[in-house]
Amino acid sequence: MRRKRRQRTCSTLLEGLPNELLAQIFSYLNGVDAIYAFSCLNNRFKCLLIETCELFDFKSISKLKFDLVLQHQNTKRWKSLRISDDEHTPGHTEYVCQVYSLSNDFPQLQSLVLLHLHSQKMCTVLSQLSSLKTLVSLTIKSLCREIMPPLDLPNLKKLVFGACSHIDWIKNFSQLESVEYTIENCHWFIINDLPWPSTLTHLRIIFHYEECWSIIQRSLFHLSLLNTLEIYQIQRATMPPNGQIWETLIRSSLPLLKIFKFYFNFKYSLQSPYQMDEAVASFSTPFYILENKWFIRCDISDRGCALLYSLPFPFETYTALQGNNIKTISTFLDDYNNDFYTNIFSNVTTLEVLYKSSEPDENFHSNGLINLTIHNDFDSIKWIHVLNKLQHLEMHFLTAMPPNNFLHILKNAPHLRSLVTEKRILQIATEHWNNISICDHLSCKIISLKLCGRHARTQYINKHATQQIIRIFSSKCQHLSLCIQSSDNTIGFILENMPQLQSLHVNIYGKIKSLIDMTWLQKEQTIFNSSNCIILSNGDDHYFWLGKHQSYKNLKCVK
Amino acid sequence: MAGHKIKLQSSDGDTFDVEVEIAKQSATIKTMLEDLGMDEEEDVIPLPNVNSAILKKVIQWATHHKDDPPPPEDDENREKNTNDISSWDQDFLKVDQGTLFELILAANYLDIKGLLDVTCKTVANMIKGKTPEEIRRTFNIKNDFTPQEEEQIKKENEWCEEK
Repeated sequence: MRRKRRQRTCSTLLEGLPNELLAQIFSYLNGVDAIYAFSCLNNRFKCLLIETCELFDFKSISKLKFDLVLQHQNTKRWKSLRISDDEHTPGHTEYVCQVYSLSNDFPQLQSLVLLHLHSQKMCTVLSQLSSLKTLVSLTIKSLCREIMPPLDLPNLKKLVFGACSHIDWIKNFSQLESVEYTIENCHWFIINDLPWPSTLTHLRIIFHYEECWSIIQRSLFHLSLLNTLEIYQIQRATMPPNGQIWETLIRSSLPLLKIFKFYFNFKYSLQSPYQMDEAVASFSTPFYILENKWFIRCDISDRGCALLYSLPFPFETYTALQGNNIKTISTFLDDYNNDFYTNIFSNVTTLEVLYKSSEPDENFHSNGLINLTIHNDFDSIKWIHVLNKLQHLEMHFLTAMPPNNFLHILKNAPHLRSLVTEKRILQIATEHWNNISICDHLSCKIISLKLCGRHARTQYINKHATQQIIRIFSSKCQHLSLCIQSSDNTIGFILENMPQLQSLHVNIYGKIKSLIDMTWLQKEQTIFNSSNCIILSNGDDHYFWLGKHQSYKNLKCVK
Repeated sequence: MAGHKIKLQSSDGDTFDVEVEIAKQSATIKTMLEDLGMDEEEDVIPLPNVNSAILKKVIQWATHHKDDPPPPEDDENREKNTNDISSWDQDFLKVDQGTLFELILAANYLDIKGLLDVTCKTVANMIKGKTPEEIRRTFNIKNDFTPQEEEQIKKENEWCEEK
């Protein structure tokens, strides 16, 4: 039977969606972004944002934005908060703790992320945590046994933390289900037992030294509820991993383990190539391949280095091996699933290239790659096809970046906005600030510039270089970090001439130490003062978190 | 039973034969089948809130995803990842805005979590990185502020000009 169809006269609009669906869409956005995008559009959205936004990540936010978000939002309904004392938001945590009470102003907080806390401020923050009885997930880096107070967090299920190996305190969290632990500032010879609560179902450990292997393995014996285990070794070990040891451990102690992800970086002896065959064979038993379908890949360079990892590549950082003759062995056969292999590097967000001879793997696509770290010569032609989503570029000490190579990257990385490098490398790459095309690209793209190096003394910027940096970067740059020879006039000069700046870090070299505080800032006669700026000092390092003066634009016009 | 079919009727009267297992990705339909015993091939399940064109798209999506594992539990406290939309879904959702929002309404009415997630993510991706004015233009959002309110909002949201 043919029916006469109704003509659809109007199309559904975003505003035609009911509030609960708009709230669902907002739940995919950071609260800051949602407020930025919608709060000034109409009354319905303005009210809806106050009622629905619960997740707030204040990464790289300006002080002005932060104050305005807090002023207009109801923090009492917030469920997730991320604050950081990194160079982009120095003093942020202390500021929050001074102005707000975690327990009174954030009573429903379920997830809290605290990053880059200064050790002196850690105690203040930690002392407030016990009042957050609703907290389910806590992320906190650089913990230390000495300052870890007893915490009563009865609902805490997930803990992500970085700490030395003295983590006896973790025994007190007897209800934890998920732990992600990065072993920090720890030498293998002082590593202690890792007393995990037996309630864990998910454990992820990132460590540096191979001497941690046995401690880590020993810590797992009583985790009979463990469902997911992730083991990532960053520093290159002197011997290959042994799958047989893990198999024995898992068979005897981890009966519920379903997901086993790992990444091992190691050297092998070119005189004993059988070592590699043994390592791969130990991860190729029926236990791995048939019973659990845990497949591995091993990339072996002809320079005596290798990576052995579970598939798909599980870690966020991929370090390309030296040499262009990389032998690859995998227990996953190509004919199982073609799509699988083309997506094996989809977890990688950071690529490290240590040597010019390194080459991209044929399955390495741009995917989610947003960070590139270069440690030596870099052949941009070889790598550019994986860099089209690049946002952050770091060029380390030995990097040689000729202008044509640099221009090639700038032209082909449309999303690049953050640059960390040494002064010398940038000077060469820009032909001493004179390459117009390169400087134009930098002016248009870069919102975060950090000039630093292994030897701070070599990084100091003179007046001429400061002027060049301001000329090139002032139009967009929001975050600037550099070393200067004297505080006299230079900081004020930068603050006055970089109108987009939200944070400034300066390392001041010189025998005469300046006291950089609010009194000093007022004497500098900039537009900043205690109402729109926070200063944090640590030795020769001084951090400014900047708001915007209300009459800033007028002031600039008058001048 | 594999291959067993039911009939779904759209708001404009068209009926679609759909395998039960595919239709059951909709929790709404699953409940109807189980609670009302509507599992005979002759039974027609009316879906008065979904028109024919959208129902066809929903069935196409459900057919492609019939073997997917159940979606994982959301971590309510973390900003959800919006970069994990499969290339098939990206192509499937290259539709006009009206269709996209009607798919959201349909996914919500039919209670198909996977489809609701991927459509909301797509809209979230359309929002990300846009200025308020771009958002207003993109989604044709009406301004109902009075001039006084507008002035106040402008002041409060001076920071919006930073980006």
